[in-house]
Amino acid sequence: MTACTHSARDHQGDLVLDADVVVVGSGAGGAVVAGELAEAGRRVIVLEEGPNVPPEDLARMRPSESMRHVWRDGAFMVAVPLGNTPAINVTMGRCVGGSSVITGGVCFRIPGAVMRHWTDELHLRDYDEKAMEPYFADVEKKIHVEEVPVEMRSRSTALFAEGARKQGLDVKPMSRNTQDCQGCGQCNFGCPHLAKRSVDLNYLPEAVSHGAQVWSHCLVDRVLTKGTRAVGVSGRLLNRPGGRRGARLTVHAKEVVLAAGAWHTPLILRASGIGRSHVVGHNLTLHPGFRVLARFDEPVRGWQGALQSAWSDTHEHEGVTLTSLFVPVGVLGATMPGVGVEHTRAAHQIDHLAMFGGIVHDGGGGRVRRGPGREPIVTYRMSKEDRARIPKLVRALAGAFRAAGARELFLPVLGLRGVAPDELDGVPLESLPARRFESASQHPLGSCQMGASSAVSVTDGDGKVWDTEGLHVADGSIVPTSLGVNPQLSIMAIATRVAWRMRG
Amino acid sequence: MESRRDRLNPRPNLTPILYTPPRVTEALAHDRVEVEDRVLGGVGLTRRMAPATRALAETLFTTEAGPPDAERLEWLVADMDHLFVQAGRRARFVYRLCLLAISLISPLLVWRLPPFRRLSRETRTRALERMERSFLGLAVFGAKAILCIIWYEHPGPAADIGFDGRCLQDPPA
Repeated sequence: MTACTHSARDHQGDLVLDADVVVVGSGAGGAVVAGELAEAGRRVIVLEEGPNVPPEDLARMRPSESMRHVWRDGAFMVAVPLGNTPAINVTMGRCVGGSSVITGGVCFRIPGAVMRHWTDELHLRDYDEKAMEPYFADVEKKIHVEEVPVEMRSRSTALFAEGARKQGLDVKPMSRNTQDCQGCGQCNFGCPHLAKRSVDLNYLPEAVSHGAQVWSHCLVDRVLTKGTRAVGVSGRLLNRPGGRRGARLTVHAKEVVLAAGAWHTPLILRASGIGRSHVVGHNLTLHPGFRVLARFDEPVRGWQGALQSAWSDTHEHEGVTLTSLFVPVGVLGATMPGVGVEHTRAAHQIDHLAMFGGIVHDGGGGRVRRGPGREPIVTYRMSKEDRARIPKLVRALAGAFRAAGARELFLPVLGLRGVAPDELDGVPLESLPARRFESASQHPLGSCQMGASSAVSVTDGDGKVWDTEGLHVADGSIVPTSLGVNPQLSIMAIATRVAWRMRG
Repeated sequence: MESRRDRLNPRPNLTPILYTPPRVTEALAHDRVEVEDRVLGGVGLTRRMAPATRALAETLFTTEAGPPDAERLEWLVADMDHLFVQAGRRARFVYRLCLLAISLISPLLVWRLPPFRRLSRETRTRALERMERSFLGLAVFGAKAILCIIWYEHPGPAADIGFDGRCLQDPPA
């Protein structure tokens, strides 16, 4: 893979290329489209803004090294809260392979209820389970989706499952795109055994083997059009010191596929004057995530085991999904309250901490706007209904740990010390301002939603941008609603569908 | 004669933060994975950010045994510098905002004058605790998060908190 990737960082002068298809972005959406179209004989060029980090290098990195090389803005990205909304730290990849390189590898198909909403309410007729089956099956085979066996669960997850059962919650095994996982709990920061099958290990090498070119350090600003037809893209090479914009980049192509993610695809469309302003960049959903830590008497060592291995949809009717996770000890240390002696004393209990998380199946409220530089300004206004889901989620997580015998609970509230289990009911979570909650998101979706009409959507059900020939979108931005589950597999299946329709 | 500034911000308790520019130690240089296609020529911590970072880290990671070793603090600041060289301007901007809020506002919360780094370690601790619980808690959380991530990657602090770095399917030690 490395040898076949071109780096624009060292390119001298302007770069002009020609292809059948230019794909902007090399993540879960772009890599799939590139792989499928290159296999069909098209001359494909993939443009990636970030660097090319070989998986062998990533496997040797410390978490903060991974953050500085492959995470966008070193993970310092926040959706600006409007109204009674928490500030949400949104993380995504910025490297060859995109966010697939930094996910936990969790794979879910689009839930049945969500698909029914798409077909019945949004009139996306081809999005029922039967019609999507071949796309999901194809992706699952190529990225090796397998169920995480119970014996790969960390003690942290096992303790939660024990408590959850006592609370009547159904905890099920997850599926992930892994092969020969050793349970090191580092999926988000580079798998030391290359067990996570991210797209830089399958779709991109496949595309390259069929003649595709992958270029790193290429920033696309706009789509070039001739009349109502897309004829390529233009932008800049990031070849000046500090990765700043340098020489010009132009790629002429018969077809253009935007797969730059839900934060950047709408920016490119807006800069190109494509799409209606009341839909492009609107409807962003985030799946705001929250976590609860619990201290047990026994050593837990939650880093030993699969990072994510189990989940519960018992609270799905309330718009909440519970998912297992663990984070490296440094990240865990950061969530320990206090300063100095108090903080370090708490940090010394890290090997006794268990952790579980959950996401809110949110209803939108995010918006992507053009920022002063090359990055967007993203705002997020949480609805009252979603806001009411936060305490429910936190209480469900903490309740399960309490039932499992936790000695102390650490809730995701800024500045709140650990609480004793019998004090949990007295913590006024429902009346706390939302900005007091710590929240993170890894699932931005929906800012260029697909739909049945150009009045309410940016693309049709095949990812084709309304009113512009030869222009497609194939990333999380076209997913029209939040899914309530991790979206990686769904994005890849939808991208497969886009690519197969383009192949004809 | 004691000045007004000294009365408001007593200096006898001041722990001097003697900052020298980051010096990448041998150990750290070997520790780091250098990516061939990495960003070149970026800017890391500025001259003002580095001592503020060091003061913040010294406050955060003080244990019952006292403040952390100067060498480990130096390692931390040097690695933070490298992080921002690679992560880019926006990341540095966000961290800088957090640091600025801590530096200028947290002293006021304990009736002292800024900057934060000139306060005694005990006063800095009280100031940060107060700020962590205030509406500006997010600024403390942001700075603390990245400092903790790097701090506990050092083999010393990692071992101190019981991290053995083992995978589930590692052979028994």
